[in-house]
Amino acid sequence: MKPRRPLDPYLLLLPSLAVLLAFVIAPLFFAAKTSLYRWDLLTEARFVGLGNYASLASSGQLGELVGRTFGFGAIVVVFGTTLGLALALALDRPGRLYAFFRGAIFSAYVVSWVAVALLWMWILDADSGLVTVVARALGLPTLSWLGDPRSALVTIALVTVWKITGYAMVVFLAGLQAIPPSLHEAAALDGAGAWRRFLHITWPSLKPTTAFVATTSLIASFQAFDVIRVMTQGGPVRSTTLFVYAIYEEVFVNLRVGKASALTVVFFVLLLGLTGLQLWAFRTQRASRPREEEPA
Amino acid sequence: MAKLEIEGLGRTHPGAKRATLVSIDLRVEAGEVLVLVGPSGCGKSTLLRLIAGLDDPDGGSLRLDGRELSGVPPQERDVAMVFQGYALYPHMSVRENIGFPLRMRGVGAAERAAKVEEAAELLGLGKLLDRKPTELSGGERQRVAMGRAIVRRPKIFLFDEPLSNLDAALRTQLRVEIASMLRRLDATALYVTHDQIEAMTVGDRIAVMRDGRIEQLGTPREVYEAPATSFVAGFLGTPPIDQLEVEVKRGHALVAGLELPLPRGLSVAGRAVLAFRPNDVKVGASDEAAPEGWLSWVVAVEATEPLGAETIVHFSVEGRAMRAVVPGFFDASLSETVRVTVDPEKLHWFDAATGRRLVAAASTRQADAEGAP
Repeated sequence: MKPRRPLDPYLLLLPSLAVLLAFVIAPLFFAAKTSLYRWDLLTEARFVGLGNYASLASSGQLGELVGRTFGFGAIVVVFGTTLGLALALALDRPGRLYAFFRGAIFSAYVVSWVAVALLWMWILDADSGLVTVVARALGLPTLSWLGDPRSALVTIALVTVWKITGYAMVVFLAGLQAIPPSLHEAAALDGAGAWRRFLHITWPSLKPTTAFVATTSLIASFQAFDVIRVMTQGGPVRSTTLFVYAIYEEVFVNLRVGKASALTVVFFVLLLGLTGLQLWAFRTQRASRPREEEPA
Repeated sequence: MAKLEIEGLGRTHPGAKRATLVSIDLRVEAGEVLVLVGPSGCGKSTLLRLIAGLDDPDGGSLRLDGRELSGVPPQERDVAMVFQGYALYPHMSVRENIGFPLRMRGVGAAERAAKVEEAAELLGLGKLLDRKPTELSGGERQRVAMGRAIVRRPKIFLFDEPLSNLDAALRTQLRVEIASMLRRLDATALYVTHDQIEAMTVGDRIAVMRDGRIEQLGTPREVYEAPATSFVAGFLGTPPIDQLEVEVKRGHALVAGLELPLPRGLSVAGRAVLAFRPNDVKVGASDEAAPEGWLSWVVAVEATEPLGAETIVHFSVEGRAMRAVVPGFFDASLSETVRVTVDPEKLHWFDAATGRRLVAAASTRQADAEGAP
């Protein structure tokens, strides 16, 4: 369609572009510029070139952050996706009981992060938490889930999994219901039992859904902030300081705006690379994607 | 090839007001192609699904070559089915689709490849083996579905309206191909359709179904020439049979101003349904005399449909629209009066209340045709 007045499309785009410019693009450039300065928000900023980047790299802080964030992401993606698929397969049945379970599991996704974090702090409390009480009653050893640097990150990752699995389950349910029942029936008549029907029919049909769930879980894991802020504040011994939390800490706790900006730029480049990878995967996936047969 | 015996098979879907299938008894002989035909909702597809094991009957027995099938899962029944929507696996190539049932049965790669090639050759799919189902036309997909069914030589083939998603020309072509392929394989098959031409051409025998029951079971000729009920008469034949409800008094039917003597041996009190096929109606000049005992009216031509080989002439009797099929072209202007006549031998009589056939109108003709005295 050709616009009657050539400027019309741009006028229509203007509001969104203005918002994008003000809240995404301009801050990004601002961050890129500030990353070259040493600045504590109070005194005059001092130009240090790539000094902030150099100190991040040489202190090992950057490597630690990247490793920790990716590790956290890996746990969230693998467990969230697997559990979501397993629950979808188990609960993809008619009946009110199953509908209740589906609703109950999804409800965790709707609850706010802060509420979830507080709930799990209570459940995992080392002295009087539900888990500790039950473990003591059974005579099992107790563990300070959030107080031990070896278990804190995994614990927070599993809390994240608990919260987002309901969403993964719902997306997988939609994917399962999009598979025509006649495919399963044909496979059964072709001699495939339940497991082989899953392997040869369900799983290949769910590949695009799996890619989608994995991507959204990864994004959710990289955005993790509220849960860490409430549950551990990045500790103990920085063991739960992930990228976003580290940026927050540098600005608002340590007042090192330049270093925080440098972290932001690195994080941005990392995410850009990941997005590119995902887009590429999505396109190749789409090219060979199993499509619904339409009757001729 | 196996024989299938069904006894007292019933099925009521949960929550349904009435039974989908009411105590079906049916025997399909080895190498026989039996067509299940009937209107939507008559239970024909349900019967097929019960045989396949995709649904469980409420009661009755199903035996394939003497082996009871109740409780046997579909994958252990040795039954192949061609679905209405083909149900091809979208992520597999044609080769993988056809080879899938062999792979599931542990047939080795080399033997599988050979059998797939053979089936593909039989169906003219040789050049399409590496394509995905989405890259195929409707007719090609249909052939792949057939290939997947025939590749492992099952005990019985089930066809669930396999041609209903195709256009008319392709349907005609594939109908012939399926019929000849089934005969070549000497296959036992159940073929569900709502298309009466398919039913007549594909089947060795036809079971006409209605409301979960088999209304009539017989060869295409028996079912067409001697329909057991007025429903069967109305279901088979194009254009459909014309039916008139008539009053019967003193051995005569009062048919739209005519007194027609009832056939010998037929006793009816009250009302009956008189039916005749448009192909059995003869059309002549209005001043031509009709033979003694023939059904005969002088009517006005209301419309004509010249189809080339034949022409359908529309007229009405006592406000009821009727048709006659005459060979070739028929020159008549609208409102022109003609005489329509029907040989009493070609009339079908049914009980007005039950719809059951009252006399074997075609019995003598059929006996002649079969060379019996």
